[in-house]
Amino acid sequence: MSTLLPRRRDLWSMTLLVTLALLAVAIETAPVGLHPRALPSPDIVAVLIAVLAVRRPRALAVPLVFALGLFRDLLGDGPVGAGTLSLVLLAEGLRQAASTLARGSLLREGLVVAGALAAMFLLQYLITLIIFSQPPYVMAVVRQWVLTVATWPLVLIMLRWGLGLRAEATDPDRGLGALKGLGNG
Amino acid sequence: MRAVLLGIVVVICLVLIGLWRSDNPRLTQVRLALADTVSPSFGFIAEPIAYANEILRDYRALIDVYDQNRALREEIDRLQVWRSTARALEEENARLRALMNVRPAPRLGFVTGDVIADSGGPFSESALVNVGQRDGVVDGSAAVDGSGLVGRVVGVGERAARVMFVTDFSSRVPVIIEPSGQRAILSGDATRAPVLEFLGAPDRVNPGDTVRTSGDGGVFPPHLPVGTVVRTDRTWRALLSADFQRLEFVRLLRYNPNTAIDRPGGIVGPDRRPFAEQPATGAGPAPPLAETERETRG
Repeated sequence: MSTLLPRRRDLWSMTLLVTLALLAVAIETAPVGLHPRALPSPDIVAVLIAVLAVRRPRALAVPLVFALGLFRDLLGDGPVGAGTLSLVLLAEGLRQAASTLARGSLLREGLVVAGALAAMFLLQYLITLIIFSQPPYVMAVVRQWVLTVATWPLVLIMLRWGLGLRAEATDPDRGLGALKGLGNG
Repeated sequence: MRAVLLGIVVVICLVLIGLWRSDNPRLTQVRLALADTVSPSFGFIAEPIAYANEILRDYRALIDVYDQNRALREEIDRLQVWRSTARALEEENARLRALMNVRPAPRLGFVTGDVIADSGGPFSESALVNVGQRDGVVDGSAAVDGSGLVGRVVGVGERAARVMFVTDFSSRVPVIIEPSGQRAILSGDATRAPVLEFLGAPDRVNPGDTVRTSGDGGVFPPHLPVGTVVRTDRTWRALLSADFQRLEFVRLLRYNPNTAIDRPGGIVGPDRRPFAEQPATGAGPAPPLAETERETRG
């Protein structure tokens, strides 16, 4: 049971996640790109979660990610729930691959994150299609994806070298490790 | 345990998507209540970003200063000719009105608000402004900048309102094209020149014609400038007059629509009484502009 309770370091990581995510939402919604042809804001919250999923996977508690996603969805004007769902699935997907990614190179991690972010945007796009809502232009989504992927190294540098958040390659509690640990008693 | 939690969250998200798609009024109210609470705090972060963006924009403008100067001189020459024509027309118009004993319609009041947040993604074209119910804004109020129509209010909180731009995919505005008098529907498609749909007689329309709101449906006041007609491929479009590049303030017009606005956001929260019954404007017919306008900045 102790594996489910957050440790002090996890609490610190969660606080960091919430603080940075709120800052990210504020930046994303800053009114600087109102022109229809303006560049869309990168999804900084998703990038933050992608970086933390590899380095502090235990900080990404499902309710916390859900709350952050919902907050962002409600404050913005996109489909409520679609952004949250894709963010939660992104966090879980990257958590599953956390230990593998932590052992690999940064380039590999970057490629996996880019793929996961593409899947996230694709899911949001598909949801708008499925519910018969008007989806944005594909190019607009692609541009947002490119900007989001380009933001990843910046957030990584800030968290890894700025705040010293390094990957925990040997952490047995990463991803499904915690659940397996539960099963073993 | 985590898998169960994840399953529950997925189900909640699906329910939320359903509620959003069905335009649930409670959800709209929650969104605006959150915007009311959070937006003032976010201003501290948005302002430096907007300032940095302004510096960048000014730098770009500085690079193009010679071209702009030449273009402005040409524009001044053209406008000087127009000014004399406009003065003559104004005098003639005043004389004719005096002859006909025409009583002009009461001018519109408005409230000006700062744009404090955008939609944050490509899924919609909208923005939050820092004026709401307490300033007399109601669901459906038209939003304009100094040059033309920007959009309309689609959700009102106590201190904030969401403005859906005319460029949004969901936006439909009844317009009239002058001088031909053709009516059309301006349909947003996330470009600066939305499509003119249901144009009755396209052969009577020419590029450069003026597009204004027709007032049909009673949501928008008539004769608001919208843009000019352009033609791309086989589609007639309206190049918008509003300057979205420099959109920092918008004016929300206090206009009493003739018909009830069919918006779920208005069902639960916002005061849907006519303006005449609202305390912000007082009873009776709309007073002159100078008495009703109230500017809110910052």
